[in-house]
Amino acid sequence: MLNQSGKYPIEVLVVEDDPEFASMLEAILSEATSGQFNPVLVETLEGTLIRLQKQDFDVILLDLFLPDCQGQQTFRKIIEVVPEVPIVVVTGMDDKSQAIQSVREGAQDYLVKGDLDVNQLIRSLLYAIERHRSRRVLQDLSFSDELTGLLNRRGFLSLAPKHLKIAQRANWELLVFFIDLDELKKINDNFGHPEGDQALRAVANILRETFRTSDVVARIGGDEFIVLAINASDASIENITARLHENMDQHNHSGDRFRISLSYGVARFGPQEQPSLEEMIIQADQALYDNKRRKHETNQGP
Amino acid sequence: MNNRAEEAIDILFIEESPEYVQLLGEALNSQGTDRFTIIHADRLRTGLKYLAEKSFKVVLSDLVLPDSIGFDTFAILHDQAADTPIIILTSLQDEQLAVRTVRAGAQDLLIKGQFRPPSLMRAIYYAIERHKTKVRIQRISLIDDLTELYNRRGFYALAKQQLKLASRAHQELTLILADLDNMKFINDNFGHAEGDRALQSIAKLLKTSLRGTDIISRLDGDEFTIVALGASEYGALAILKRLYENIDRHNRNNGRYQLSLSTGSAQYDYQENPTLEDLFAEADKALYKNKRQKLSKITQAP
Repeated sequence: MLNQSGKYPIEVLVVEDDPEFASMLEAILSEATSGQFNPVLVETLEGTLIRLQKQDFDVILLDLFLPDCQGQQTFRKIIEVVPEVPIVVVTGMDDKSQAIQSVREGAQDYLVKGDLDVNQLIRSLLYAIERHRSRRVLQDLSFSDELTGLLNRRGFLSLAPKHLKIAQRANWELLVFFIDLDELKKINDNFGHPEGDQALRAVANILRETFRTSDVVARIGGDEFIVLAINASDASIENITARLHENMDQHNHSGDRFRISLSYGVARFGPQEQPSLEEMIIQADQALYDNKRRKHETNQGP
Repeated sequence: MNNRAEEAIDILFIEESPEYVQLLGEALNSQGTDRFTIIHADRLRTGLKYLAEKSFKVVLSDLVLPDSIGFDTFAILHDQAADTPIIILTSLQDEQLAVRTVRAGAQDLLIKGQFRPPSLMRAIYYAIERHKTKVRIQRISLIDDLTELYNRRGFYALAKQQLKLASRAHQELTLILADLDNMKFINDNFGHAEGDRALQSIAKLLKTSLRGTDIISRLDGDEFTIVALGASEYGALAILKRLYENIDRHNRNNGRYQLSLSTGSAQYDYQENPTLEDLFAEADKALYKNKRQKLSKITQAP
């Protein structure tokens, strides 16, 4: 049988330090199912984390009690690294509260060694993959802005810290853009909300074309957008803003009813600085505010 | 252990054989500390009736019943009991069908004769926990963080459903669009935090002015929508009157700035059966008109 993605065989990481039980699991998975599963065995948490860096797995079969980590900690350390992979806990301890706690924290199933048969094990793995996929789809929805398809505020707040960590670890520079669409209110009031929505979608496209797919681009409020660009040394602020203007001009010559004009502010952080997400947003917002005021003063100038 | 231990776990068991139900019920209740209260339905139709009358912690159901056979049994059940986790217990040993059923939202599928009561008990606990997580994620994907009203995605999902209901039951329905006139003014003069508070105030005013069954959403920055099923044109006027009275009362207690709302509504007529987009466009036109009237009043004032 095939799993939904048509991927075959299903790659299973078996984390089990008891050699006897491990080889039994391996035998079940590789033989009894005529190649439907491809098990890979590891015995320690450390081994698990190394293996997970090298290879993608469809599901993890996890004993909670390992030589280098025991109990719920084992589960937490793995799910933190690969939240996208479903985990089925299999343990010798038939402890209801521990089991429920694991499932509550995201384990797809919790099997007890003394009470396990082949069919049940196989079904558990297959169902774990299906349920986890549905959960990811829902989660992605909750992180995305329905109108533009960009991340929403929640998505930004959840993704940005991860990128921040990566930047700090890799000693990369960081740019934060705070961008807002001028005169959305006027577009809404003069052309109706559907046109306002259209303008916001156009801005999203302009930002997608301007920034790289590895940047975190989000719409965090009505007409407010924020972009986190890491390792931006190859793309200086000047390059990015030039591209932004170019893409804006291109849109404005495309014959849409309304012109799009964006205001933006940029905050730059060196690899040595360790700004909090909040500080970054505040600084970028301040830069935007200053730019807006300058724009306003120029327009009202003598 | 969690405090649910003392209360009984209510289960709806849809299964043709009363003997099987009794057997499993006794086995479950001899397992541990929890008490399982089982309501038996011997056909799908009876099960659906019970589901409409009472809420259950979990539904156990066979796929083969006197009045329904196969995947359809699950599909119908899932449609009617979206809020309850479903576990399938069946003799059908069809792995494709099993995976398809889990993919479609079943929490688990156990093969009769291939599990022992402890496994079923665990399956029940985990199904309940996983379902809670699912509902939580689903909820945040449909709810606006700031105001706790439905967001754009929630609006479209629920409004379409309400429209279907109106069309099927030949009921009246009103769509109201509302938008805060002076959002920009509040943001610019009192800061974004105050702007957020203004939006929360509007949300509260909408909630207190409407019935619990009305669907209230915040689409974007300062755009709100109301879907009132069963509301006639006259009913819609009553809603708006109540809303404006509540806003006036709120404004009398707030000296710094006044909340001002523009609204436009559209009435669903089942004989013409308009789409949500049609209604939206009509309401938007009315909203636009409302805004222009206000504006001309201001500019014509002596």
